[in-house]
Amino acid sequence: MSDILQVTILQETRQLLADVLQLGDVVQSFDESTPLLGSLAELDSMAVVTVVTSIEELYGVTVEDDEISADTFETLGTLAAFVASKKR
Amino acid sequence: MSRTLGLEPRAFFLPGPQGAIFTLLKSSLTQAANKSVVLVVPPLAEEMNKSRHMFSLLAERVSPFATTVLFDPSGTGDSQGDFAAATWAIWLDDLHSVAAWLKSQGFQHIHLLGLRLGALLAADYLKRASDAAWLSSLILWQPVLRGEAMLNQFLRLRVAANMLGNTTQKETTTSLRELARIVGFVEIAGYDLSSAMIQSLDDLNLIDLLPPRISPLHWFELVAAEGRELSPASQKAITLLQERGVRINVTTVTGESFWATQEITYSKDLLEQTARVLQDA
Repeated sequence: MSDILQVTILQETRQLLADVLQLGDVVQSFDESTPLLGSLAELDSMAVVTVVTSIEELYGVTVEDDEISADTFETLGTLAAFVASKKR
Repeated sequence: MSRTLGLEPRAFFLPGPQGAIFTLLKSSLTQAANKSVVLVVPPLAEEMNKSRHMFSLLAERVSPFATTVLFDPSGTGDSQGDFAAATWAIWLDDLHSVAAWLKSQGFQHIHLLGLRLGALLAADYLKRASDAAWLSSLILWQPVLRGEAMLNQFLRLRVAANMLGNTTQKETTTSLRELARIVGFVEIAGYDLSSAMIQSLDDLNLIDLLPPRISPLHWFELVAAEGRELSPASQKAITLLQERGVRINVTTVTGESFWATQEITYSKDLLEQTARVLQDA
């Protein structure tokens, strides 16, 4: 994938998290290695579901239940990579 | 409790098929408020708990010209009954009980306002009603288009909880539906969701429930920021309904999904736009 597309998806994913988790500007300091699962207090069950639903609605895709996994939500980078894989 | 001078909350129980239906009526002392009423049809479970603040603000905002009524469907909130024993049919009856009571109170204008699943309940109720001439308007806040999709979101709370809890349990929305079918219910985020309710929710389609005779119909959808558009699914549904002759006034408003956010939030835009609709009615 091109660098520009990677950066765009990373930014879109950042924005999605900011919207869903009500994080505000702090997301701008997040990079690919920023841990999500287990680190973000805001990421509870409801938030996970809302993130998944937002991805589905924004990109018109379907997320499978087994994709709601620790691997997907490990870091901002893994989540963005997941979003990118769905967009393809 | 409201701090606004002149807003008189009245809480009482109305008799329903499953027992007592907790009903909350918020009215100011003005004459106009006694003529118009907006009956709120609530969203499911936790979504309603998170939405109470928004409805409280709505009641205050429209109090000069309308009374606001909230009720807890059987098995939820302060109403009688167990959530596990609740059925869609019972909830339709509950809504009917409250609506019938409002009609008997002499209100000239009765509006139904359904949020999320409440939109489907309101629509289904109106579809089954022999006549809807008594209805002044149907207001939909972020209507759920398909019960199955909303149910998947609800079931996913357990899938997400498994992930967060680091369990090796590999449950899916499919396996949870199957579990409910076998055992009779499935527990999701503290709520015992019955197999019967699951079947009812899976069958609900907003497009099938909105007949052209329902008019005016006000559809409000929240977007995260100004300039953002309706979801493609909503756009498609609205187009389809309009092609069938349903007249829909669509408004996008900015705000967060207050029924889902961790911090309790509200949408000022949605309050203002809804108030305008009710005032002009």
